[in-house]
Amino acid sequence: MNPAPILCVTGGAALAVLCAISLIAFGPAPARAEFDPFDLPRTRFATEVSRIALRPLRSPAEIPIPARLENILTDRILGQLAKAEFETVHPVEFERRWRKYSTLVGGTYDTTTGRVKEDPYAIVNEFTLRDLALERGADAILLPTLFYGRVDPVADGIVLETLGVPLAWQTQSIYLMNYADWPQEVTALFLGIEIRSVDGVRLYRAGCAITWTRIYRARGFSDRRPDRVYEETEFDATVARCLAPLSSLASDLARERNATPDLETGSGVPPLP
Amino acid sequence: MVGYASSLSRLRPIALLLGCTGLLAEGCASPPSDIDPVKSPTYQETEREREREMKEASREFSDQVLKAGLVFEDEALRIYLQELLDRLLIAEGLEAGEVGVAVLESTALNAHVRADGVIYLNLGVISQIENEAQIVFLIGHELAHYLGRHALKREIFESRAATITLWRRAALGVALLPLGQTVLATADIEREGRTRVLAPLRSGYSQSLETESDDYGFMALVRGGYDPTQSARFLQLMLNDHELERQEISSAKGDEEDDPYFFASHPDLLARLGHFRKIDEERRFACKQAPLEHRDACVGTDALLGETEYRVHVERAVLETARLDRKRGRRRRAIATIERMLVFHPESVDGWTMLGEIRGGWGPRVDGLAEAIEAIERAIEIDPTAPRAHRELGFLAERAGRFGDARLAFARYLSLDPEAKDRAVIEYRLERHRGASGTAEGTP
Repeated sequence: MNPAPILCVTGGAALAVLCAISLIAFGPAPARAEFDPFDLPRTRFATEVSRIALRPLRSPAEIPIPARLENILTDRILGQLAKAEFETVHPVEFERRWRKYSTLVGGTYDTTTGRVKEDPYAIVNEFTLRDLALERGADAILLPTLFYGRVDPVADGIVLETLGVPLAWQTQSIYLMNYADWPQEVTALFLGIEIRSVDGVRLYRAGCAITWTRIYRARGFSDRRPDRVYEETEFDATVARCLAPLSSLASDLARERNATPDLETGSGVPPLP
Repeated sequence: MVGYASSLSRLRPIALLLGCTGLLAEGCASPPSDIDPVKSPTYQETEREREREMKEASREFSDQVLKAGLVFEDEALRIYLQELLDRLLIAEGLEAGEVGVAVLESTALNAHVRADGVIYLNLGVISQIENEAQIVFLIGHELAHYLGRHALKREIFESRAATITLWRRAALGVALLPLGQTVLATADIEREGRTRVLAPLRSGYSQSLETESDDYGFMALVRGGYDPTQSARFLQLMLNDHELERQEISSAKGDEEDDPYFFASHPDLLARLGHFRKIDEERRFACKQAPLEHRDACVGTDALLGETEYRVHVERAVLETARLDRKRGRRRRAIATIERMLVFHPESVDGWTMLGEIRGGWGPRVDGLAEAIEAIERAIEIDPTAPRAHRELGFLAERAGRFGDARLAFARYLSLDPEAKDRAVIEYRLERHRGASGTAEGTP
């Protein structure tokens, strides 16, 4: 049954369509779905994960993160997890086991090509995670990474900015006087957070931009000064943002439970067991 | 931003009028339901060319799927499914093998047919189906899409609607010129209109094609002597699985988005269930009214299900689906699927081993550990020389604090598989267990 042709001949149906359009034109815009970093229902995450082990931060060679900042980043992640009421296992525990097993299987990377050796890698990964579960009681593993990604510039008046920071071309601010000023591409440093169960199921994934790093324009590219990129405050804010859904997990679930009316008692509070 | 918003609100009444005209015109672009666009006089040379292109694109798709290793290779299963399909083809007066069948490595509850005549069934749907009757219904449904050239019809429908939209935009652009505005200014309104008014009209057309295919699948069951109520049972299974998925996967990450088979273009599952019950009642009534000599075609309670026949062929497919489900976090579905399979394959060592692995997991929690050990021990009972089962038993015994048992299991594993790739790591583990003395305190 195809209703479309009826619209051409039936006045009533046409009127109904007009009413529908009026509602759309003058009614409130529907809410857009927000990004959900959880791969499973949040209640399941809360009940299945209580202790999270941290893998050491991984970043490609072209990201020159200072060791001092790497430690700060690790501390901030551990701190945020603790604030969200999760128990944590320090990345040293992961590292020690990984190195031990890696030595036993003759390394997980091909020293000539730099590529992962699939079987040894899978074995080392399995035994490291099984050990963290068995010996440290970890339910999940958090994998932090740093990577470069694209971001969109926005115009605040005539000043171009991104992630709340003005864009600069060779230390000079970019003013939007004509379209030629618009950058071809802006890259940013991102913090990637992935949480997997110890047996490898992805539970949570978020990528959060830290700050912009490079601008491409017609004449080439211009890098941001490294001391402006690797700032403690920026990293702090990013960790908090990337793990915010975990921080609010307990309170959100409690609120949801209270908001669900109980049909037997008529109250919003679930009855005592 | 404020300026833009206020100018947009001034434009709304104008956009409303123009939008109404355009949307109505777009509604008129739909082909009437009683005229088959492929058979109608409007089926021109350009559309024949389009069909040729669609077939070419489908052949490319098939090649890519094969090259990417996305086709599940199980020749016995493929031959079995092809035989079921061939019966339907011959009943239609076509040659056996004129339409092919392949299984895709995907856990999504999906099946589809391409214009080049290949029916793709996903592992997910194969593992959920309970018997031959249900798979015949599904194959019949997909075959109806192919025979009715539904993909082409949908393409023609979409193309006509897109042409009207283009004209409407052009007209709107001209009308807005005196106001110094562009069509972009009303883009939000237009987008909302398309989503909330036009999309249901379009999906209505798709759904009518789906209902047509459902009816064909139902008749394929009746003609093949299968129990026709299995069409409704099949839909009920899909509905149940959809509910289970909601409990295991975040609603934003589930299969629903990329699952056009059951949840987007297809009519509401409950409505489809009602439809099947209705046509089955009509069939029963017609059977009662028919003269005695014609009642042979009316299947009764002895109708064919083909449960054993089906289960025999899908063992490997079920195990692969369970492995993929476990990887995705659908642990409960994986366990349920294997348990169903084990009813028909109680001697499947791989089945019991995988059941033990999934029940046990790697995590620190010990709930389900006893059942996991039980499943692994069953596998070892069936085949005491299965190395993978002994390896898993070693890990499970460790978690239960039975380090002596773990040591024995790991040693047995290494003796059964002397070339094991993880030999060095297991030997190191055995070394550590020697100092643990089989107590819970002596963690390795």
